[in-house]
Amino acid sequence: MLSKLRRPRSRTDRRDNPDATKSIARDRLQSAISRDRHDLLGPDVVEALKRDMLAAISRHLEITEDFNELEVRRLDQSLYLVASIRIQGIPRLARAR
Amino acid sequence: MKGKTIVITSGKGGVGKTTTTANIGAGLALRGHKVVVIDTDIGLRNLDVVMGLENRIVYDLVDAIEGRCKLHQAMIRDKQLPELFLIAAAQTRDKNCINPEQLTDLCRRLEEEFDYIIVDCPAGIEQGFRNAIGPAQEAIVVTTPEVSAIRDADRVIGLLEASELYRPKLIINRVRPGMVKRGDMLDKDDIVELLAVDILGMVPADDRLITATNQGIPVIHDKRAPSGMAFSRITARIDGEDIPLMDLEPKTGLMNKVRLLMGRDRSEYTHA
Repeated sequence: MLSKLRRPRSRTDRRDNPDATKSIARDRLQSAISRDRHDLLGPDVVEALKRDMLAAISRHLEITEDFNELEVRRLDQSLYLVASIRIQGIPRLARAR
Repeated sequence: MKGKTIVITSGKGGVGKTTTTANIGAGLALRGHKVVVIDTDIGLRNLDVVMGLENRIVYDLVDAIEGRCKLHQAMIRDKQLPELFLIAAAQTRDKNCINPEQLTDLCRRLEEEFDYIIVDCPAGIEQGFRNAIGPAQEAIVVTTPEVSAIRDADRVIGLLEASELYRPKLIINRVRPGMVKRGDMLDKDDIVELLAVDILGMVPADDRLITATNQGIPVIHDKRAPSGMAFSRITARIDGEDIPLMDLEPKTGLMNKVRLLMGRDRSEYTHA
């Protein structure tokens, strides 16, 4: 409240304007784009990938049944597959000696 | 001589691909290069009217590809620039009447003789898009600061990279600096972060671009047009010059302040 009184808002520069619409545009685009990129993989590809990755990981680690996240992201002009999964336990054989 | 083929694409229609093609073509020719611009929007040709060459078309792209004329007969010389040529799209055919291999073959022949071949891609991601990107060694993606155009640009960037056109460069068209400053328009940093590509330049929304296009003259010839200056800088960057990117700033002259106060932001700016 006080801060608002101290900083009168000019008409020409309202960068702090909470009503500015660009942040709404940015958030909506972010989610639409990430969904588009994920959809591009195709559901059957995603399922097959999940199955193979879970099988491979579970040969070495005790893991939960499914990924927390599995998505395609673009960073620095490249596409990345970003996956995370919770580890429940590390078997003795897998530990560094 | 070994020229370079660059495709201008966007996904969404109406963001300024054709205007960008005309101005980059003219800009490169102004810099002393031999340039051909090709309209691949078969059935909906427009590059000819934007360049003011609509009355000079005798043969078109499809005539050249199907051998009804020699390649040189389908090349229309620009009115202002003797080293700039247009190959117009056919108006009475459709996108499926040519394929990417045929266009690639045609561009390879042009590369022997010209420095730059600029390919104007149709909107969409179907056959016309596949034709246009076929011959390209580099890609430029045009967008505007709107959610629909940016989302489509992301889709197209993905498709370009899938076709081994890595690191496409972005042009943000019709920027309104007053709105950006008020926080009501996505700015360069927002868009670059969302799309994760390099930016080639920004072009301000500009009434002079519309009046130039009305006359069939690329706005780059208008020395007083902010959009024309932006296209000059973009062209110089394509040509390998290292020109820093500047933010478009709203003009701060007294009359413009009065306009802003009156709530009539007419998107005045200084050039970038």
